[in-house]
Amino acid sequence: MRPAPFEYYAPTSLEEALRLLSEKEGAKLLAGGQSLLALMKLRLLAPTALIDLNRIRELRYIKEEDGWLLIGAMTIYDELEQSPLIRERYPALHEALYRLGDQQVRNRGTIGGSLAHADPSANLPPVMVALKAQMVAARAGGGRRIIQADEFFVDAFTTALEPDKEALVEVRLPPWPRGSGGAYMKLSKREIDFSIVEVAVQMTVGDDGGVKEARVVLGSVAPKPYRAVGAEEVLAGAKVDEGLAARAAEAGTRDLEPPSDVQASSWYRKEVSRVLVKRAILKAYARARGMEQ
Amino acid sequence: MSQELRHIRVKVNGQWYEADVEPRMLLVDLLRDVLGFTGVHIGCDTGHCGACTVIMDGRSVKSCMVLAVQADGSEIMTVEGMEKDGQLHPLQEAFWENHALQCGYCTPGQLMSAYFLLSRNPNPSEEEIRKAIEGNLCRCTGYVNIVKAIKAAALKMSSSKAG
Repeated sequence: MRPAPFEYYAPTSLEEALRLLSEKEGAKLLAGGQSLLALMKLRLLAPTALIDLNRIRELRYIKEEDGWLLIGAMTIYDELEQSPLIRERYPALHEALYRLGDQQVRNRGTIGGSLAHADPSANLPPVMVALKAQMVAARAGGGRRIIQADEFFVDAFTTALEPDKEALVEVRLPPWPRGSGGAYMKLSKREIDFSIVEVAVQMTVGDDGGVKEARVVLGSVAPKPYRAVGAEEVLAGAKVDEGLAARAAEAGTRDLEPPSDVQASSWYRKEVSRVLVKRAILKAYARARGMEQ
Repeated sequence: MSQELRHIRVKVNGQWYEADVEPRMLLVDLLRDVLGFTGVHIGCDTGHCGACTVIMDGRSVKSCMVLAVQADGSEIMTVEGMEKDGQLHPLQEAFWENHALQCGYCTPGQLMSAYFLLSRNPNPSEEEIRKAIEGNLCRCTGYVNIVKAIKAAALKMSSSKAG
């Protein structure tokens, strides 16, 4: 299987890439290519031009700044998965990366590519929403803006990036205070497959054991990451035990109307959602209280 | 649309090659059809099976999911590059000794994934080995002997280094 013909550009600077993006009609940015090239080989997509970002060194980094973790959009999954900083501070993200594709995909695929692709069953989008990540979008001429993860995912395969103008260049993870913890869980046929249901939970727990803030976000159950607000409300201020986690999971998944497809029926997805939300809440809570790694 | 050819240079198994390629040519086709490295297998051609895995600039990648132009200036290793001076690589010997293959179709890809694993984790656990080859499908022998072979090769390589 071969892609349809296209023009190929391999700029070495971000500014050059953004200029090409604004000038070349029908062009697409090529990040790790593990989704885009597959779609092009199947002829589901036939962009007139590819602007390959792989030679732009300035887009590949993991660095700390004022407690924030800043990640360049072209940083590959493997580098993120191996990062001790991410494992310690953002365990939900580490778990999502550990179960994201096989080693060859993790050696090539990038965080920016995945988020801009916005596949409804990809691992990273719900984690980004749970962690309150910020997406930095850039356009030719130096214009930049920050998009909150909550607003970044608009629909299936659709983000808030302005088409043919903006590129995702950086992901910013905010510092979560002492007493925070998270967890990511998913159901999939094999460990690394796209999820049937997935959930990311991030929370902060006070010294008294009461939840100060909780974010519960599901994937694969809606066209974009689904905030289980009902669960978050039950968790607010509560001390978490089995019963409370079950009530939160029930409240958080009650209004779900997940899609049915070849992998699972809507009913099944909803049932699994409830179970996974409960488990992820218990795990995140234990981690926040320092009782589990 | 007419396709402008791009001139690229790639170093494969220690030797530089030059070629003129269409931008849409896949790395696996460059390696097999233009340069003759037919040890790189095409299994599914959709990024699922791992048979076309090669080492590109030190990392295992599926060569059906990389464009040939993207490899311009890169160093590539294929299964043909594992043998040195008529001597099989310890991984190849271990696959042989442990019956880690039946039809052999997935083997070059398995070897590349194992090679990448051992390049940064010389003493992997069974779980780490299984994790490392999860992108390489075997449809005949199963994975037990492949895991055994990688473990054996790791032991051999670390003891020969120590000696």
